[in-house]
Amino acid sequence: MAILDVATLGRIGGLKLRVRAVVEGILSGLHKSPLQGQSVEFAEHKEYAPGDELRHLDWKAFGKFDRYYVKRFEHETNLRATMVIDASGSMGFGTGGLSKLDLAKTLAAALAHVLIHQQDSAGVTVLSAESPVTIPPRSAPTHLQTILEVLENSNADGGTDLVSALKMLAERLPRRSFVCIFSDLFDERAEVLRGITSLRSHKHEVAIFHLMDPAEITFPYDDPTLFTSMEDDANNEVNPRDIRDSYLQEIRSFLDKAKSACELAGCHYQLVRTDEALDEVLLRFIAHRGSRR
Amino acid sequence: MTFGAPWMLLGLAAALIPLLIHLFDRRRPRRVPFAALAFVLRSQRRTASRLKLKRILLYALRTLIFLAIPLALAQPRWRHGAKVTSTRGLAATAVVLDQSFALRWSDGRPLFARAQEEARAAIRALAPEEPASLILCGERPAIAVPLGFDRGGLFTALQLAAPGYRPAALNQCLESAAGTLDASPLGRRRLIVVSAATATSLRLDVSPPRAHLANGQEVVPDIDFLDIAPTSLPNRALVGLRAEPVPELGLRSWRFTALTRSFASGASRDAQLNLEIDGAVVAKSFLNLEEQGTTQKVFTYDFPGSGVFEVTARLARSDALAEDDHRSLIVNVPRPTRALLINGAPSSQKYRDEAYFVESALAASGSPVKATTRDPDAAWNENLMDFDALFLLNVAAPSSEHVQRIERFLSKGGGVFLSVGDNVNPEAWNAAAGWILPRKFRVVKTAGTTGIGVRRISQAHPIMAPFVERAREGLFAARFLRFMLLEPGEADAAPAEPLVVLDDGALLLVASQRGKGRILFFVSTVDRDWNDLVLTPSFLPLIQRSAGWLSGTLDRQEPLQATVGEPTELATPDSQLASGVKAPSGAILPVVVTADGTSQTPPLREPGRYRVLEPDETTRPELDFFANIEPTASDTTRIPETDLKTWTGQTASIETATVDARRRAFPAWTFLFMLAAVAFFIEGVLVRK
Repeated sequence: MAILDVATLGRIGGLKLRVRAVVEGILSGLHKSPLQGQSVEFAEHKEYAPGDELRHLDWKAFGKFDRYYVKRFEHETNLRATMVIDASGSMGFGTGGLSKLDLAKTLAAALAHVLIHQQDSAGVTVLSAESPVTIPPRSAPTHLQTILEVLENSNADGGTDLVSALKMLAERLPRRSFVCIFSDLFDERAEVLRGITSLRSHKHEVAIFHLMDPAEITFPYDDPTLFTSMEDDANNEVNPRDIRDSYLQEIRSFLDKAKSACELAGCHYQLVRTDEALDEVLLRFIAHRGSRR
Repeated sequence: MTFGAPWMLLGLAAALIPLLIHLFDRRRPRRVPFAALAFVLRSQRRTASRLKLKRILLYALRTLIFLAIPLALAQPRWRHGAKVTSTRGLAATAVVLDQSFALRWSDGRPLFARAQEEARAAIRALAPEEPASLILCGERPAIAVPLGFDRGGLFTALQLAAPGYRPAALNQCLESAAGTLDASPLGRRRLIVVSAATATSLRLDVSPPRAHLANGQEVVPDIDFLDIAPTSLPNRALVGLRAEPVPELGLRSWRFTALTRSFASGASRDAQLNLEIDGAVVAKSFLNLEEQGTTQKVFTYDFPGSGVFEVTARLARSDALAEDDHRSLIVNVPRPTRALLINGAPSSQKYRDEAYFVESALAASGSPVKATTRDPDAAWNENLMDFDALFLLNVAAPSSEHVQRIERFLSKGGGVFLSVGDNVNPEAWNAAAGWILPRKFRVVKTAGTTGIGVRRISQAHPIMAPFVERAREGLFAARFLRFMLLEPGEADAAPAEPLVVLDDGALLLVASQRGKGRILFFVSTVDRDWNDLVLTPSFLPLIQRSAGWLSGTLDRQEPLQATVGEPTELATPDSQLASGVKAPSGAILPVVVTADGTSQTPPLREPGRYRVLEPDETTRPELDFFANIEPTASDTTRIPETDLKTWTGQTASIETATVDARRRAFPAWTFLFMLAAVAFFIEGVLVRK
């Protein structure tokens, strides 16, 4: 059940407050964070051999058995997550309380909050018409404030080259990073999925939050309408009734293609409508992550 | 092509509606920023050609709907005649419009309206150089518009024309129509006949008409016979209604005999026939009508009181020709006659009493007379004006005062029956009441011991009318031993009509008129003293009818039956007083007095109740009468198309086309309605897609 609906969140002015509202809702439903990136599970003891890390010597075992033993752990990682926000003009579209960009920022900030809260690293990259703004992943609690400020100052405007930006990110990010992409995936060239594939080829784990407004899915227009582009000066006058069937067919095909391409590339794909409850969106994502562990 | 309702063509302007909506109803589109514009563009590109085609189709379909509906309502029809006439060059043309009663037949739309429409269309199809005349063909031909180029006059005359109530005289009309063309310099003659082609209107044993050119040369005219009727015109009609009193059943019992005839091709079962008195149904009957058969139904009705009643026999379910489904007449049910019997020789012994036999005859069952008997002393105490008839039976000569009362009584329309006997002194009567007597008394004659009989009677008189064949045997068997001889008639005396003449030529019964009053003079006794007439079966009807004639109730026992289209003789002795007759439509018809002194109306033009107007413009209901439609007019039997073609085939060019055939050939408006419906359906499907 939604703790806070989108309309209510839309009325909350600041991103920080919105994030807190969402995150508190999530944390109150969890006993243990499934996003723990560092493993401290003990695996076995090994007799010390020259070259082993001295800091892993088990002094208690030496006291008992008078021999040197080294502790060995099953896995040892540190999660480095980067939130990639598509801030192109089309992300500014929204018919409910929140635009797609607002939703992306809230989701990204909430995830960053959860990650930093459990000592993982979180960073953010905002892709806009100008040069991308990147905050590298950090685990310091004060880092969250920096992320929030960057997100707060980003606006939807112009077009973005999402493919190039993702390729660039794929090379710059540390290996095995966790990349969360928040985008509507609208790209004239339809090559955005290739950028995602390049991320996967650099061994990054990718989760895609495909943000769509309900109006984009259902096309609820009847009277003759002049549709204007949100990224340039293009416009088009149509009678929506005439093209509704064709449009719905197009958009369904687009969504199916995006989903199948992501799944084929091994990415986590999640379609998010802007009228959905955000806590439910995050819980669904977290549940998916938990099931993979 | 012609149109039944051309004004509906104005609706064709509605075809502009889709275009006007397209031009003026282009609303300013709403401006909406939209993220997925690329998908909108792609969708539009993909559907553009299909949408364009759909828009064009919708526009065409809507325009088609708006065109087809008013066009269908205008009832377009391809006209046969127009094509025929336009291909043969110029001709002087006469249009003959059938006005027979059959044209009132209607299956929702009267035949006459169709005939007018056909005639209009035929006139429109004429070339401007062709002169035309119009002959309205009723009982007689009437040249409504002489030959000329006044098309407006033709259309106006057509518009004002109405069907009649008689069969049309089409043969005469065709002759008359051909005659109107004589003056035209054109070399061809054409007759356009718009008719229902009923057998009663067109005689096929008469040759088709001939026309003449301006130089006198006889030519065969082209005849375009536009048959506007369907294949058959089924009709049932009341062709007769007769009324007669039935005294044996009651004082006011009447018998009504209704004749119903079928002019349909099939039999009709259980047709309901009603008898209506003053508009109220008083009796119902059911009858079966065979094909072309006649059925008689007899109703008997006992009127509740005397007076004037409107009696109608009516078929409960009217058919396509409703005007002949009923027939009416006026029945005057007389009140009982009041008679005062002055008994000149009363006796305690009935068979010796002078008035006994007369009193018994008038009191018999079924007698319309209510008799009061008084001796001479008491009788003059009565007010004579309370009575319709006064019977002076063997009464001694009255005093001058009594004579004056009798004269007043006669002047008011009373009737006096005078019989003689031993109390009658001829000289005294002649002196006292000579003015009253039809002929003065001469002397009493005795005819031997066996007496003499009756030689002849005047059956033309209403009193004597029933005495025919066996009914007269009693009268002729009577023997008269004594009777009063009368003086010859004086020149200035009122005419006296001998009703019964004895073997020796003496008059036995004489009728006479004194102003409004009537006198019957019986020159023997009305008991057994001078004759044995009272013992014969003829005595009772003779006395009862005498009382009826004296009181005037015999005058109009048979209701006057008038027929539309014929003059009617007003059957009332007072008819000379009528100043006119008021027709059902309110028109006043003049009454003319014929050479034989009877009053006659001009031919009656419409069916319904006519009222006779007295000089002071008042009406007397008992003089009213109904004019009914002539039975032959109801005969809607059609001339078979083959017979018509054979008849018209004697001329060079004939066109006959029934409405049925034309409908089968060109169901234009049905097709248009279907087209509009199909277009509407496709439009709906396209809009939903």
